[in-house]
Amino acid sequence: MEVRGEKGQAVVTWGLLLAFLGLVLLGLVFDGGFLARYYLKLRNAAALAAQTAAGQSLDVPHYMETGGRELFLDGQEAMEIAFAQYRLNTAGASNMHLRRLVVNTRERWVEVELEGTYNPMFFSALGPITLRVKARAYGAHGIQQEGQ
Amino acid sequence: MSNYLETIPIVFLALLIIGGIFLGGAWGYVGIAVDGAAYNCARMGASTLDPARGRMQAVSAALATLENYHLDPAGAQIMVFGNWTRRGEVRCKVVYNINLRALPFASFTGPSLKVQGAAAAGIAGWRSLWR
Repeated sequence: MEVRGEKGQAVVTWGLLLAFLGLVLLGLVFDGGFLARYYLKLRNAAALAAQTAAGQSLDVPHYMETGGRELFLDGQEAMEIAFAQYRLNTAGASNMHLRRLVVNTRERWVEVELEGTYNPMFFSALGPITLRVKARAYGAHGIQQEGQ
Repeated sequence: MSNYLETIPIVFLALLIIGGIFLGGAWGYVGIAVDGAAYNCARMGASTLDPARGRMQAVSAALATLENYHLDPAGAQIMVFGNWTRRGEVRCKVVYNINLRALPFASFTGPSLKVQGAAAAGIAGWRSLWR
């Protein structure tokens, strides 16, 4: 025998459940989308810093001194360029910082590791999410004459 | 009669959640596309071997990226600032307007939502075949 109003209770329960699931989905869409964007921004900033530093810091005087036998990166210059480029590409982005910067002058590569902390909007109870990305770029393999 | 009255807030809430899901999805998706377009724009603009073609290469890369994300390039503004010399710098800014008129309640914020991405890349100091 059905007690009057039981059916109504089930509808209310389902309604609340669906509203809760809807809110969870809303949170996943917002936080998932913004987290993915945050990660890509971090990755792009690391890649651009490494690429620019590797491309702009060839030690040309040393190359000329050795008669074109040795082509290295200028370590100090590579560090400065990578740092400036990281600052430029993370300007306005919150909670991103340079974690590690490695320059291998002999093998002519620059490695930039950035760390970022994303604060979720909907799932803030989970706490901040920390992401780390690493990018490595190589300088040119050879130059043949000055002004090239 | 009370059933109808109860339905009104439920429908309102459902539309709000659905509108929010569509808005959040579009916002995140377009944001990723715009950041990717700005990155490719800066990279390709800085990779040119012909300074006269740098701007065109940068804009083409941004447009191609937006197209790959199935976004209408006509809705985007692409700004390229460059100094196409050795060790110069190329900066790109891509702005995309998301049309909100189709979303319930989202249009309260305005007819469109602007999403923008920016990136800067340096031109290599030494490279072969520079024209």
